[in-house]
Amino acid sequence: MSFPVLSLMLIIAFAGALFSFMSKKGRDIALIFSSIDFILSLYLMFSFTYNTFSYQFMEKYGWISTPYITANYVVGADGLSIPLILLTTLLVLAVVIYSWDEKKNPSAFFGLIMLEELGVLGVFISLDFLLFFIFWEVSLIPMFFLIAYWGGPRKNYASYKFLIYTHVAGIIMLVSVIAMYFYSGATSLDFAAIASKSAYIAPFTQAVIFLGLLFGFGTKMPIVPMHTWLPDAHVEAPTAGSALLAGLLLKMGGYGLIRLAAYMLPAGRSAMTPLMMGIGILGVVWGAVAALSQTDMKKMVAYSSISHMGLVLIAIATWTQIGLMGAVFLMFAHGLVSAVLFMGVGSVHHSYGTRDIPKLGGIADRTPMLSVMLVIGSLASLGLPALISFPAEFSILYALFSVEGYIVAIPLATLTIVAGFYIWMLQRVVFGKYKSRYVNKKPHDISLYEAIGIAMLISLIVLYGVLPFILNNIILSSFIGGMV
Amino acid sequence: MNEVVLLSLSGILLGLGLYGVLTKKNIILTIASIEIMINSAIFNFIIFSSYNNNPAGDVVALFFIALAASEVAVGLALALMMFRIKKTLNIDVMNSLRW
Amino acid sequence: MDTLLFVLIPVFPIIAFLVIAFLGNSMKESGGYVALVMELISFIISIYMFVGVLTVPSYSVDKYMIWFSLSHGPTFEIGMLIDGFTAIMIFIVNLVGFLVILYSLGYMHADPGLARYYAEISLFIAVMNGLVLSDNLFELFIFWELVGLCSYLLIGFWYRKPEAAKAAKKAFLVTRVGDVMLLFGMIILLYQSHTPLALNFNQLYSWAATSKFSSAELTTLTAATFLVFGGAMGKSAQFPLHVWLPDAMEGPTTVSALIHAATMVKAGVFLIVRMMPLLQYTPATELIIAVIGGFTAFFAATMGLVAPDIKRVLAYSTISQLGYMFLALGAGSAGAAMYHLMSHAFFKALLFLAAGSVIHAVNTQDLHKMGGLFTKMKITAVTMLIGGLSLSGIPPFSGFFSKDLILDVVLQKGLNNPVYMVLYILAVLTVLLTAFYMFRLWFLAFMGKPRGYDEKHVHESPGVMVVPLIILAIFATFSWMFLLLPSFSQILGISLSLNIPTMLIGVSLGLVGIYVSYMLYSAGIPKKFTSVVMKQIHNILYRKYWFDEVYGAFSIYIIYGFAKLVSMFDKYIIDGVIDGIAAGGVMLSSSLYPIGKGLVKNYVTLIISGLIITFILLIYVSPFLYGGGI
Repeated sequence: MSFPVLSLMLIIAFAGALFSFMSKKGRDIALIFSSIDFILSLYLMFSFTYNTFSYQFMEKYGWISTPYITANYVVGADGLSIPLILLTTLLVLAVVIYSWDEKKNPSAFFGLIMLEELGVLGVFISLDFLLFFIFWEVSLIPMFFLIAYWGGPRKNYASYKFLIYTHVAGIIMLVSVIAMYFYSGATSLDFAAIASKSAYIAPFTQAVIFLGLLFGFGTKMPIVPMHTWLPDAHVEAPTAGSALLAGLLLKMGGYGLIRLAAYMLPAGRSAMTPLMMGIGILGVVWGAVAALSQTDMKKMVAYSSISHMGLVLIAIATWTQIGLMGAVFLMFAHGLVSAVLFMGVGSVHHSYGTRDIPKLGGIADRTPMLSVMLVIGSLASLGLPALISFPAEFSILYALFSVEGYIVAIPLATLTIVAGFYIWMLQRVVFGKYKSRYVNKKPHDISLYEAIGIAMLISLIVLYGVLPFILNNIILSSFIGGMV
Repeated sequence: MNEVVLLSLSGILLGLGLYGVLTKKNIILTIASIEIMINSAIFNFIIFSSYNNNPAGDVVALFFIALAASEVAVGLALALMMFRIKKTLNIDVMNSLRW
Repeated sequence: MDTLLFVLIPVFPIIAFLVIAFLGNSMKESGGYVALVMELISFIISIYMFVGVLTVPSYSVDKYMIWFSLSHGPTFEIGMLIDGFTAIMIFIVNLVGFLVILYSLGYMHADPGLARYYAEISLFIAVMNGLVLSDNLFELFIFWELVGLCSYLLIGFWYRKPEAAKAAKKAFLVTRVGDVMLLFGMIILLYQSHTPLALNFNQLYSWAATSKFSSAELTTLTAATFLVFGGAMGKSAQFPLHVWLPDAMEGPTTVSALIHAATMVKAGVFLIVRMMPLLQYTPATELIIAVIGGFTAFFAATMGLVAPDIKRVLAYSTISQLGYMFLALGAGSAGAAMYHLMSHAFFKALLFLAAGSVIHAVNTQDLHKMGGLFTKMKITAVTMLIGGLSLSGIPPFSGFFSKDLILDVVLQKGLNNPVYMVLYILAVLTVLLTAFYMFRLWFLAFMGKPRGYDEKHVHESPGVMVVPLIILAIFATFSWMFLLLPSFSQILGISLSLNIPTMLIGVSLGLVGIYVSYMLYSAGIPKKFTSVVMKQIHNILYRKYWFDEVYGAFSIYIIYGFAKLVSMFDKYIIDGVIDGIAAGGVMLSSSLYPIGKGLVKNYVTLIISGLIITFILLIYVSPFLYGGGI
C-alpha cells in the first residue's frame, strides 16, 4: 500500500467543505481545494498501470466487525471509476470557477459544492457497500439544499421531488443489496466478497434482486418512466447545481448499475436484458421526442440527458466489451457536454433574464462568445464526430447491432431528432434577427470566470473527441477486460 | 359473588367519573370527576388485593392516593392559572395547543 | 512520391483556420491573405500529387496509423489512401478552393463577419481534403460530418437573415437523415466484414472479393450498401432528400460555388465511387442508385425551368447533374461519374462565380430584375456563356464529353435491361431541359433591356474576381484534354469514345433547348401562359412539387405533434400519478383534521371508544383468529 491518494482526495474535499462553510472567503477555499483534488485525479490518471484488470490505489482499514456483518473502509479505483473520478474533480473545479460571482450566501454555496464532491467521489471509489451507501446518501443532501435555497420559483416542489425520488430509490437499492448479501452468504459487505459469491444465487432470486437494483439505480440515471424528477430539478436548480446534477449525480446510477448489479448478478442481468433494452430504447426515444417540444432551454437539455442515459442503459444491457466501453465513455462525455450546455443556458438566463426559446432570438449579435459556446455544446451533444460524444455513441450503437440486430434503427433514427431539437433551438435562439422585446435591454456577454469555466470543459470535449483512445485505453485496460 | 358486587360498584364509580369528564364544562368539576375515576381504580386494586390475599394491591392503593392528591394539586394550580389568563373556568376555551 | 508530404494538404488550411479563428478579429481583411497563402501551398502539393499519380497511373498507397483497438472488437485507424481517384478529387478541391478564396477577396470585401468567413472556409477545405484522403469509411464519416458542419455554418453565414438561419437548419437536418443512414450502413458493414482494420477500403474490397456470400449475407450487404447510398443521397441532394440544396443558396455565392456545387455535394458521389467494388455484388443497390440518379436528374431539371432566382436555377442544375453522376455509378461506371464530377466541378463553379459577379453588380438575385448586362459586363457574360455551353453539352466544351460518356454507358447497359433504357431516355430528355433552363438564365440576365436595377453603378467586377472566372473558363473548355492522356484514361477506366449517333442525339437536343429558350427569352420576359394546363404545370414546378410543404407538415404535425403528446404524457400522466399519490396523502390527513378540535371531551371520547373497540376485538374476534382468548 503506497501513498493513500484516494483517501487524501476525500479528506481534501471534506476539508474544503468545512472551511468554506466557516470562512467568509468560501470561494477561494473551494477553488484551492478543488484544484488540489483535480491535480490528484490527474496524478491518478498518469500513474495508472495499464492492463492489470484489478483495482489500483487500494486502501483497506478495519471498520465494523461483528459475527453477523463486517464492513471495512476499502477504497480503490479501476478503469471504470478513473474516468468518473476525473470527471468529478474537473466538473467541480469548472463549476467553482463558473459560479465565482455568486452573490447569495457564497460561503454556504461553495461549501455545498465541495460537500457534493465529497459524496460523489466517495461513491466512485468505495469498494465496500456500507461506505458506498453512506456516500450515496451524502451526495443527495447538498443537492437538495442547492435546489431548495438557490433555486428558481418552484424550488420547493422540485427539491422535494428530487429528494423523495432519489431517496426512495436509495432505500430500494439498499434493500436489494442487503438481500444480495444474505442470499449470497457473504461474510463481509466488501464488493469483492459479495461478488465472489453472488453469482451462485438462484437465477430467479437474482432476477428479483436485479430488478430492485435496476429500479434503484435506474431512478437515479434516470430511466423512463421514473424520469420526471429530472427536468423539474434541472429547471429550478441554480446553474452550478444543474451542471453537477447532470454531470455527476446521473453517472452514479450508471456506475452502480454496472458495478453492483450487472457485474455481480450475471443470471439476473441476462434475465432482465430484454427489459433493459426496452427501457433503454424507450428512454432514448422518449427523451429526444419530449425535448423537441420544450420551450424552456434548460428543460430541453434535461430531456436530452434522459435520451443519452437511455443509450447508457442499452450499452449496459448489451454487456459486450465495446458496449461497456461506450457506456463509460458516454457517461464521461455526457458529463462534460451537459455541463457545458447547462452553463451556457445559465449564462443566457443570467444575461437576458429568460430561458424561454420563443422570447429569445438572434443572441449571436449581442453575445458572440456565449453563442459560440452554445453552438459547440449543442453540436457535441448531438454527436458530431471529432467531438467527444461520437466515439461513445458509435460504440454503443455498434454493440447494440452486434447483439440485437436491426433494432438499432430506432435509436439511430432518434439521432435525427436529437439533431433536430438542438439545431432548431440554435436557429431560434442564436441566429436570426435580434429580438429585444422580452429580454433585458442591456445584455452582457459572459464574464471572464464563466468563460474560463466553460472553455475548460470545451477544450476537453475537443481533445477527447479527436483522441478518444486516451480514455478508451484506461477503460479497456483495467476494467472491461476483467469483466466481460 | 361478593367480588362481583364490589367490582360493579367500582364500575359504577368509573362510569360516573367518565360521565362527569365528558359532560361538565367547568374545569373544577372535570378535575373532581377525574378524581372519582382514580378512586374507582384504587378501589379495584383493593378488591383484587383482598380477593387474592396479596397485600401488594393495598400498597399500590396507598401510593395512588398520594399520587391523586398531588395530581389534584397540579390540576387546581392549572385551573387557577387558567382563570387568571382566560378569566373563565370553561374548559372548551382551552384549545390553543391544537396544531 | 513522398506520401507523407500529402499529410500537409489538410494541415495548411487547418493552420489558416486556427490563426484566423483566434486572431481574426484583429486581422480584418488580411485574414483572407492568410487563407489564400495557406491554400496556395496545399494547392501546389496537390498538383504535385496529381502529376505524380498521372505519371504512375496504377499508384495506390495506403498509409495509416492505429487509432485505437479493442481486444474483442475492431481496430480503428486513421490514414490516407492515395490513388488516382484521390488525386483527381484533391486537385479539384484545392483548385476550386484556391480560386474561390481569391474571388472572395473581392466578393466578400468589407463584410463585417470576414474573419468568421475565412476561418470557416479554411476549415472546410481542410476537412474536405481529409474526406478525400480517408482510407477507411469510419474516418471518411468523421470528415463527412465535419464538411456538413462547415456547410451549416456557411449557409448560415449571414445569420441575421431569418431565411439564412432557416436554410442552414434545413440543410443540417436533411443531410442528417442521410448521415444516420450512412452510420447505419457503416455499422452493418463493420459487423459483417470483420476486416483486421475496421472498414479500411482496400481490406473491404479484398474481403468482398474473397468471401462467398450466402443469400442471407447478400441481403445484409445489399442493406448496408443501400444505407451507405442513403448517406450519399443526403449529402448530394438526391431525391427525396434534395430539398435542402436550393435553400442553401442563402449563403454567400462563393460558398455556393465551393461547397454546394464543386466539392461537398460531390462527396456523395466520391463515397459511392469508393464503394463501387462492393456494389458490384449487390445489383439491387446499383439499380436503386441508377433509378434515383436518373429520376433526380430529370426531376430537378424540371424545377430549374421556372425558378426565378439565378442561384436557385444553378442549384437545381447541380442536383440534376449529380443525378447524372449517380446514374453513371448505377450503370457501373465509376470512371464516367468521376469524369463528369470533374468537368461539372469546373463549369458549375464557373457558373456560380459568374452569377456571383452579376449579383455583386446588380445587387439582386431575381432574374426578372436583370437583363441587358452583356454590354456592361463582357467578361462575366462570356465566361458564363462558356460555362452554360459546357453544361448544355455542346462540343467542344468539356461538359459535352463527360455527359456523352454517361449517356453512352447507360445506353450500353440499357440494351440488356429495359429499366436502364427508360433511364437513358430520361437522361436524354434532361439534356433538352438543361440547355433550356441554362440559356433561359443567360438570356434573362444578359440580353434584352435592363429591368429595374441601378444602371449607373453596374460595371465589370474587379480583377480578383475576374481572374478566377477566366481560369475556370479555361478548365471548363479544355479539361476534356485530360482524356487524351493515356494515364488519366487508365485511372478512370474510360476513353474518349466516339459513338456518333448518341452524340448527335445529345447535341441536337441541346441545341433545340437553346433555340427554344432563345425564342422565348432573348427579348425579355415572355407573356404569361394562357392555357390552363401550362399554367398548372408552371404552378406545380414553381411550387417545387410541394415538397417543402409536405415535409414541413410532416415535421410539424406528425413529429412535433408526437413530441407534444409525449411531454403531455409526462406532465399529466406520470407526474399526475406521482403528484396524485402525494395529494392523496395530504387529502387523507386533512379529512381527519377536523376531528382534533382541541376539545378535551372529544379526545376522551375517542380514547374510551378506542379502548372499547380494542376490548371487543380481543374478546370476541381474536379467539376466531388465533384459537385462544384472553
